[in-house]
Amino acid sequence: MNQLQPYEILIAEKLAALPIPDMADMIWARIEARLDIDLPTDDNGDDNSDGPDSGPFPPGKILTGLGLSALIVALVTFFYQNQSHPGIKTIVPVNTIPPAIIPESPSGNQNHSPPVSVQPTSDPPLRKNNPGASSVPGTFDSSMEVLPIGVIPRLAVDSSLRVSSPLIKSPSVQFPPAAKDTLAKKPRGVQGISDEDYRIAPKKDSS
Amino acid sequence: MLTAESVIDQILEGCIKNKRREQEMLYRQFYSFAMTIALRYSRDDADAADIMSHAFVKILKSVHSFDPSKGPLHGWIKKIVANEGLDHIKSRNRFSETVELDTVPEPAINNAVIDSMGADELMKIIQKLPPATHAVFVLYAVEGYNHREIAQKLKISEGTSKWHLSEARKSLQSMLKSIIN
Repeated sequence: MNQLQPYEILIAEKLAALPIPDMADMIWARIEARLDIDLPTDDNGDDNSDGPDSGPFPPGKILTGLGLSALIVALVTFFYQNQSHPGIKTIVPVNTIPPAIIPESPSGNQNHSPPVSVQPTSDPPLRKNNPGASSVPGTFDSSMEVLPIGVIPRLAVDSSLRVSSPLIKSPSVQFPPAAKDTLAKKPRGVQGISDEDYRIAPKKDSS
Repeated sequence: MLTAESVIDQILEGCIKNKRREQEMLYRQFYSFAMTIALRYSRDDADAADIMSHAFVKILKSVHSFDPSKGPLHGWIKKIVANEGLDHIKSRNRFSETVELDTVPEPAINNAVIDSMGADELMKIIQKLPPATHAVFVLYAVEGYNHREIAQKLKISEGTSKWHLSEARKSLQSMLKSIIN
């Protein structure tokens, strides 16, 4: 009774030669997804797999590197500008800033000067007073250039320092250089108050 | 010179270390073999894909427990895939106790008809059987288990196993006759 019938033997032989559907990739994707949950692996840097994230420059690391590079370039540019041209003013939309008086700093200022007030004008939207950097040191051009809001001019940098910032796109505008001696200093201190006002004079004891 | 056995050993070593590359290599090496087994217990290709994915997750998670001294690797893989196929059938159908038989009738089936059919066409006929009957027929006729072993696997009695085999033979006879006509 437990013997196989001839047709059953034939069926078994036929099924051994069953055509296999081409689903290997699809099934492996499901297996891998399940393994990533149950058996997470940290062999991205160890193995020699040929997956999309393998290799010395995976896409994720490339994007991170680009971001860091852009940040470093921006910081270097910022510091370079501050060191070589401390009087550079930030470009602001003039029409949107009300007049303001900058107060004295708490640490005291021995070299006070008239306060700074920013006055909106009826000029075109953006007024720039930025000597900028130039390839011709020692000269100063006091001409003012007006640019529309939103356009950040690209500074002409010194040939000794090449800065490229892929994040900033602007028309190539040359800023005239500024000589150190003629650079106007920002007035400091509060108007009407001198150093004499801050001297502490001992009071005479009446008793 | 690298032999097939040494290559498999290296792949197994990588699988034990949870290396994704070696795990995929093991899967692709045994894909055809395992899919042949999975198809026997499935209703269609999608069912077989389910069985395969579950089976290989189990294989790759328990590869460290494989003991070469107890048998070859393909035998171990076959056992896991077949058990997963049976679990898949059980999940769709309860193997309830029905009429028990002591003897199984042997309907006459023309071997020439079966011989003239393609493997995939024959598989589709078997897949039309009810799930429990399908499982018993595959275990008995294709895998070569006896009724006692089938009863242990499916948690049924030997009589129920014989009844399902009888039903499978009658259904196959009826379907093959309809093909001839």
